[in-house]
Amino acid sequence: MFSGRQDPTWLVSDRAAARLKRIWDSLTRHAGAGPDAPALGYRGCWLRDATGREWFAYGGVVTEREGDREERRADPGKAWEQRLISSAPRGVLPPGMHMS
Amino acid sequence: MAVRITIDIFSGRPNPVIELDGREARAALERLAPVRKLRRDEIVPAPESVLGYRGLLIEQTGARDLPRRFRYVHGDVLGQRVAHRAADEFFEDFVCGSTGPIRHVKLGREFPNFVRREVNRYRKVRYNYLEKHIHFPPKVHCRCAPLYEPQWWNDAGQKQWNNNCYNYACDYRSDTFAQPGLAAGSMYTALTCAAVRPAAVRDDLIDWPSSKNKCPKEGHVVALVIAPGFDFHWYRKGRNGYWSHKPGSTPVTNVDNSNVSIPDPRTANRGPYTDFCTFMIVMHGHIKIQ
Repeated sequence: MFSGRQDPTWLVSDRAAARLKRIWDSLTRHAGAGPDAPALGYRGCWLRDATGREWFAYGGVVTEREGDREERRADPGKAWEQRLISSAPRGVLPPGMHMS
Repeated sequence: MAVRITIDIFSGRPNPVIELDGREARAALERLAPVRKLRRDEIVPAPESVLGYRGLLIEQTGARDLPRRFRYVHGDVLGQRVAHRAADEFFEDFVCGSTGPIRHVKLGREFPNFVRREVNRYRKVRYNYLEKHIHFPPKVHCRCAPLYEPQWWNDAGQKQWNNNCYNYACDYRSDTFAQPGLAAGSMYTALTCAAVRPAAVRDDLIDWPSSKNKCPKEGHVVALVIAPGFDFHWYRKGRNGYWSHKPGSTPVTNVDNSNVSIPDPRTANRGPYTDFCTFMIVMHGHIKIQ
């Protein structure tokens, strides 16, 4: 989300990771590309596990990547994204942060 | 994909600007596509220091066969590395037509007719105009500015991830995600113009608030903006007069949040970076950032 400062980063607890997995499993496939994020401001959030598998969420689409494999799922209510962001420890995220 | 058409016609008033995107932008770019190079005997001056209509200034993103910024006059496309006939030699008629893009300009019912008359009058001006030199391509605006070479920064590795907007603006790769003032032992203490600006001065950038988007004689010019309480961001002006930037660890880009070119960061879409602080000069080799 930042340009000058380092982006906020934190470790996600096992409990939060399990919740995120449940949300991911409940999402349906999304055809096509996700929306483009703007150059400045909030550009999405991503999660990486110990195996290197990653999830990226922005604009109601969550993308899972593992090696060359990629799968997108629709998250119109941004449940996955909000759950990930709410897992941040207090003080990591700036107050009044907006997910656009 | 976006197209901005400026009708270069006024002297005192701001020129009318038409913004197109999506289907309209695509259709316009198809009409403006270069189809053949102008022959020597076809190259006619398009003087800019005259009163009245002087052509259409086109700024675009999306078409690779056209420069980001060029001029369209009477079927000619003129700009950096381009002096061609356009696919639509009557693009000006299209713009001024009853269903053309000029309908977005609210300058009265007679304005389109006024522009059409001016377009025709400018033909005579061009053919009668005597010029000693014709310079193609247009001259470099900021001769001391660094090259715009996004591929060098955007390596999806060490350079991209570990260098931020400040690194890019200063054209200084430190791989430390540089922070203003840190190299001088005194990093900024608040995310405000009042705190970040002097921190950059401590890194030996030169504050130039009176710049008005000009190019310095030496060094290159950068601009500081702030998302109050959140973050800072920097832009840098390139050789062609346009600005580019690197938002954090994301790739270098020369468009703003509206996906259009940046002739002036003060008027660009900067998202949450609402506060424009100042212009500053970077003298190559004089600064140290960390």
